[in-house]
Amino acid sequence: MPLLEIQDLVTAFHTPAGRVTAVDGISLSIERGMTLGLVGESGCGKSVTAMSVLGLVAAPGRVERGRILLEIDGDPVNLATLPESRLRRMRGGRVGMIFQEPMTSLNPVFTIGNQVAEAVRLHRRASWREARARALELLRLVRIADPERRLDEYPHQLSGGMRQRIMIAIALACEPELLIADEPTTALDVTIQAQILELLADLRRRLGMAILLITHDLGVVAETCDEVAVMYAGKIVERAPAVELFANPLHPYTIGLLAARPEHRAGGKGPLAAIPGMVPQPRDFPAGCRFHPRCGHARKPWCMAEQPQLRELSPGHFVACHFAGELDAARPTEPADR
Amino acid sequence: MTGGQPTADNRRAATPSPRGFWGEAWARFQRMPLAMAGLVFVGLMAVVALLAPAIAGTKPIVCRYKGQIYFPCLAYYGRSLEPVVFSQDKFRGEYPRNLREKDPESWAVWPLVFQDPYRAVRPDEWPGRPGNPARDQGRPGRLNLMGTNQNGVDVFAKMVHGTLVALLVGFVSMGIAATIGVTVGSLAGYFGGWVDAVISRITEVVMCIPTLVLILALLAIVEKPTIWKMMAVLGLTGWPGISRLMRAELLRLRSAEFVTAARAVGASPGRIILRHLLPNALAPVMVPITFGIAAAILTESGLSFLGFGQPPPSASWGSLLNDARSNLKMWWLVFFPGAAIFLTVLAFNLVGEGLQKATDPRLREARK
Amino acid sequence: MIHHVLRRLALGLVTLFLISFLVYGLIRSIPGTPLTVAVAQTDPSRRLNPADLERMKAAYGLDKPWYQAYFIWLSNVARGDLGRSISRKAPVTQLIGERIGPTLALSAGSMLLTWALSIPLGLYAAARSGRPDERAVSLGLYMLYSVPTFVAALALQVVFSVWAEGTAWELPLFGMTSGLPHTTSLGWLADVARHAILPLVCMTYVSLAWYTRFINTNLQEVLRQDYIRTARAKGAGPIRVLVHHAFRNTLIPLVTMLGLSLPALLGGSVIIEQIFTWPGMGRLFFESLRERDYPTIMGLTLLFSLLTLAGQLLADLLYAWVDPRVSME
Repeated sequence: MPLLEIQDLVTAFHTPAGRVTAVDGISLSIERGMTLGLVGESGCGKSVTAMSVLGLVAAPGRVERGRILLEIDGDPVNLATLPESRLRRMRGGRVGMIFQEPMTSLNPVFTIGNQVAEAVRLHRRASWREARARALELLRLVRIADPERRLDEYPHQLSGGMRQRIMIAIALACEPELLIADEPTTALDVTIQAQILELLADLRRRLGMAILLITHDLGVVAETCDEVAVMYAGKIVERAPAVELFANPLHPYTIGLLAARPEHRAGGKGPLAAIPGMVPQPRDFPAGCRFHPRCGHARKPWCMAEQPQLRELSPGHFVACHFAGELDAARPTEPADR
Repeated sequence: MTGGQPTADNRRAATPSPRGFWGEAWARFQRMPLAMAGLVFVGLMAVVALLAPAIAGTKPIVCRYKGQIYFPCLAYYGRSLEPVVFSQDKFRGEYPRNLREKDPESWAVWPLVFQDPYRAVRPDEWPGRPGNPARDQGRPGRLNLMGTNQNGVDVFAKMVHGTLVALLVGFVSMGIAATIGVTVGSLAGYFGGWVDAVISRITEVVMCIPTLVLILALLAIVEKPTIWKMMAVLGLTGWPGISRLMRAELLRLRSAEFVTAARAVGASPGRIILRHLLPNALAPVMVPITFGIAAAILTESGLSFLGFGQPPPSASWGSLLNDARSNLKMWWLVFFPGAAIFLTVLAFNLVGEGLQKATDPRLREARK
Repeated sequence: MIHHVLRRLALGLVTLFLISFLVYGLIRSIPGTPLTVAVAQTDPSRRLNPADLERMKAAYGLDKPWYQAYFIWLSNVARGDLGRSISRKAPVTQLIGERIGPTLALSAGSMLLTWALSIPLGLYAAARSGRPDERAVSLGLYMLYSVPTFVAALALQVVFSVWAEGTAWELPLFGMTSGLPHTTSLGWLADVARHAILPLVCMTYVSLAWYTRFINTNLQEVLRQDYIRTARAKGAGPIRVLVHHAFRNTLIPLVTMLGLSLPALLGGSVIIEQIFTWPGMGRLFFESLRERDYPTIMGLTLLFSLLTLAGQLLADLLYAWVDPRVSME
């Protein structure tokens, strides 16, 4: 049984202007110790997916449908229907989460030690002294220099990279089986990014933890993930082991994403191969395949009329496209200004 | 080669044309029922204020006398607007009988309620009607809907005409305060340096002087406090808060990129302030200005209540409350003007609050 | 930090000087002097002859131009002498000393009540935000806030003193005590308490409404922050999130307001003291303005301005103390 299995999740926001479906029926599974990367552009719904797992979607958003099964002691528990008090025990207990903005994710009026120790005391019976000792241990684990001093410092005295390490320490306080990382390195400098990613990989190895990594950076995915799921407009369009995805992308969107990387231009020079058009707003999702207006391979009438379902084209490789496998997969979508 | 041409679907120019900042704010404001209720109330007040002489008064709205058409009610807007013929013919303010006696052909359209905000109606002034009760006998009744005060002056008439006073005081004094505050604050915020230092010290001093001293002193100096002088005094004491806010806004905005761009194109400081900075900075300032209108009305009522307002007979709501102090058994002198002041302040507060919510850029991003 | 405080004190002194200078000039330009006002109120048979008037004028320094008189006053103040009240013939410090107690009783009581009630109320409103009960409470508070104090005071007087006359609900109309002798000090205390109920209610309801709304709004703003999301992701329950994580941040602006309310604490409310004839500082101020009693006015103004500046300094210090991000450099 996988550690986490998401089945047909639908999360929508009920705004004064209408109902907006941010996540429209996605399914994922993560095995123990595995790193799954969830990739997509801004606004595709990947962050909302992450928040939905722990029931942290901000109002007026709500998980409307689907099952979120977490394996606990051999039995699947549906997080989506769990009462709030029990869900709270999962948060920070069995499932840890870190967020994108380390600069604002720590409470400015409490010390580092206080905040890390709190993470321990919320789930375990520990005195303040014991919790503080554990906090010290955690700071060392995430490679913070001079941890004794840092315990009594305030967040504003730390850099962004250090604050993100503290966030990781907090998330790991109770040795969770799953860590959800929502764009953990997006707000950091490139060099710090590398350090944090390396830290995460190291921790994963040592603690045997599974990671759901949300990101829009393909480079990060290539380095750290075992499996990748590509998301577009609230739906998963392709899912495969990382190596397979990069070697053999099958969905036109994935192909376009990979082709748009600067290092992959023909001859290494010339205009970037951007995907024409823009990500549609949830209110303006096109009928049929949501990618078809931007797809160079779109063909009437199927692509305009019917949403493609995920099909397994080769072992472990799923694609949601009517013509997957029949396209000339080696040819990237053309740049618009030909 | 299949080209990746954007299809017609993709070239969606379907976003509705942007309404601009104030258009959007207005749309948001309209969705707030309480704020709209406040706005409607203020509108009603304005109507009542403008039509006050037609609602309650002892002078005809329009009348025909000796072959000419006159509008005697305009006298309530200003002494000099009373048609001269009526003082020449020795009407002495008593129209019903004099019109009939001196010109049997005359006709008149009378206000809805025949009462005067400045004096008691005398017996038989309106044929067949007794005069207004004096002292503490003036309970609310058919002839005096809200009762009369100790001098026999009708409360309803005072309330109606007091609306005009209240609105005038609120808008004019805040207008003065806003003009001074915006000007002073923008100069301080934009130029910085010694200009800012001097202006900030002045602002601080004015703010530190106990407001009561300032107001009472200024009032005493001008000796006869007419309503216009009161408005000037309130305006002169209300500007520091607005000035500080404008200064903060301009300090924040002047380092914005669009200002640097304007300067790079060679715009003069005046032009930059007026065209670029003010429109952006005004939005947050509108809110305290709205609250300030309510505060000004409150202060004027308070001053009238303490006896510092217009000398009697004045039509201010506060003067009624002052009358109440000497005889608390006359509850109608407390509850009617009290309710009016309360509703007015509430209305302006609701509008100000609605304005704040409608123009707050941070609240717009709450839905992600 | 010491440097900062000293600098503020020095600047404050300059401002104080400016203010007192301006105020002195202002009140001296008001027509009428303490003598003319007092004289006008006495009956004609006791009018002073011109020679006596001149003598009194010289004694009180009223014959000198105001800028000269100001410096005389200033030099006296520097020696700790606030002068003697012209109309009451007592040292100003004594007058202030008599009045400060009653004012403090009302304002301190009001402040304690406000804080004791508005914090739980504000937390409750933030916790139940958007629900019908919170909307009703918020609207009620909003309406309360819009009732002017003098209207409320008069209305309360009508209800509790006139209509309730003779019943158990009756509360005294004026003054701090009923003037009757008391056998025990407890009796005196109870008497004062009975007299204080109406003024206290009038003073408290406005700040209660205001503070509750402020706490509510601020809490809602804080609850939108990222670190609250972190706290929830840690597994903290809604109560802990509100009372521990969020409220601690709201405490920052709240505590600074404590400092800013210092002048009001000792200045008293002129309107309330006037309506209820409460023998406090506000009334003293009002009366001395009417009597053109310059020394008292100046003494009170000095006190009030001092308190305002001290209050601002206190607010800044408290802010630096409560918010770890701010240091007093």
